[in-house]
Amino acid sequence: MLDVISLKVALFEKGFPKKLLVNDVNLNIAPATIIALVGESGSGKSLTAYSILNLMPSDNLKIINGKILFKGQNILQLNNDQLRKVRGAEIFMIPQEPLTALNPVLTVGEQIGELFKYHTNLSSKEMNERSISLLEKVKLNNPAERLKSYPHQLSGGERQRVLIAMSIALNPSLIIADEPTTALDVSIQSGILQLFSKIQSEMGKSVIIITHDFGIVRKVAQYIYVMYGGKIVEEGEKDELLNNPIHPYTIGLLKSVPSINSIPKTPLPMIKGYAEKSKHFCPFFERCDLSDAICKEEFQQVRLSEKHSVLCTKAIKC
Amino acid sequence: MLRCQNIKKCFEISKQPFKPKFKIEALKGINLSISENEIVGIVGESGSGKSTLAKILLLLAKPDEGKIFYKETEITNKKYSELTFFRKEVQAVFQDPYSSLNPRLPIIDTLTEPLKLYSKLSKRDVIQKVGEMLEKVGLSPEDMYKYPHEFSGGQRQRINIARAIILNPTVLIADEPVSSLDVSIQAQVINLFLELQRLYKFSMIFISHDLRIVRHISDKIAVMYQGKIVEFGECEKIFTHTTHPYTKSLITALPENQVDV
Repeated sequence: MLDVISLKVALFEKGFPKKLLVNDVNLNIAPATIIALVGESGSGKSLTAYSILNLMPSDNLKIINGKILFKGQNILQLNNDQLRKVRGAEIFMIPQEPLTALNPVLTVGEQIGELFKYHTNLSSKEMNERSISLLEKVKLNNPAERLKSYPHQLSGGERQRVLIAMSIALNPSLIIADEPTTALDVSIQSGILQLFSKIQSEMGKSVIIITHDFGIVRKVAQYIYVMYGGKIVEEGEKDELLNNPIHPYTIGLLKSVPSINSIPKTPLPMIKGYAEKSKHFCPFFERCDLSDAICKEEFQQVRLSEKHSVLCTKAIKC
Repeated sequence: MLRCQNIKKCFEISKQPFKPKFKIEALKGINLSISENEIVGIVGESGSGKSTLAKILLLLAKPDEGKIFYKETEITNKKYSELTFFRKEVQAVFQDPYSSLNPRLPIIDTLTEPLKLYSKLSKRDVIQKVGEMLEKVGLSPEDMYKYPHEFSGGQRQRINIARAIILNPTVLIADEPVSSLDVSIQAQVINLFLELQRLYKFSMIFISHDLRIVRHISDKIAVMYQGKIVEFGECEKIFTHTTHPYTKSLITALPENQVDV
């Protein structure tokens, strides 16, 4: 349904590209699946998501290469009017912080109504009914009352539910959720994740969840992309990738979280160093335990199976 | 070492302007004690009062009721000037590595400040000590002339830790020290805490919302829920003999124990 083909986004300084923040990213999103884009801050995962909507957070960031094919049309070649029809109605993006994503001076009802106002010809009564039924779908109590509340009167979890209600308002086929549970408590997280599963299984929508937490990935995702330094370093089906990770970064990430079965007070396995721009070909070169002279010069996309591929020269020998 | 008895704290909050204020009980009678060379972990959701407790234990906020003892002397009602020994020996590491370092001071100034206040080292010794400390936390001594903005989040948290342990404290209170860090960096910082604790043998209160991290690092765990400690005990016991339903729900919410939804 959505294909991102060799996407490159660069940071421009004084009119010249200075840094490649997203480097040759390919994504393929099938209908009715939940996809997780995992990576640390600065790995380019949010930027990739913004590119899908051709929404660049800053003028200094530009897409310099690639195609984003959504249902056959290249989003990067649409003009503003056409883009407006896609954004919200076909692809909806739930931005990072539910606390700041809503307009503090408008009621919830006004904000949901805005979507209908620009994309449909509903009367205000119909809009109201639709909004109420949306809030019911995301399991908010007293929906009619909630429509009149302002964002500050809602808790973090409720605000996230309002945003999810907005995301399904116009029946888009793809929803992008940027760190949807990061700001929420553990006990509220699972409720939100269940909603996403429901959106996927019952309404048949695709969801891209951007996260750094493998716990979330394990719960909801079906297909996983792991990003590091602007590149997809490993991708695969959930079970395959989680049970049999190949890339040293994925392995390190999975291991560095203390599990309930780990022995307390022992040093945790960790990835050395800090996420910095690599001087070499492989973005993970400096932090990798396996890297050697070959990694400086090249890396290879190794396809291990239909459903699993990894970007590492060492993968062949493993 | 550090002990608190029946600590209560209320906050007055007005939901709408001009309407009467109402009280929120943030802490409803907390009893907690920490012995020498022990790590106590505190888990709980946001709003459960764990940060308020940390602030009160550091005497950065006054409790409405209750007493705090440090080395068996009560310190709750002591004057500011009588607390210098406490300020020197009880140190803190906070959640946000960005706002807890002064952006205008190079690292060396941040780290020498506690030494200037509480030790009588000469200038040369101070610089040497700062260098040593930076090495202990995994940075290089040359970093001391840099400014906070030149460091990443994980490195800044290391600097915060260096500042906290430079005076060789007896108690370290760490309020969510890893939750704003990336996963791969979290493990590094947790390992650093464990290593330094083994080296300096300070007592530590480690606050986090992540049960797995708390389990990994602590000797004892206190589970907080709505201003109360609902469960307190040896690390393993909390997991094997869970009594409170809230703790149970926390344990089942762990990804390892979750079935796919």
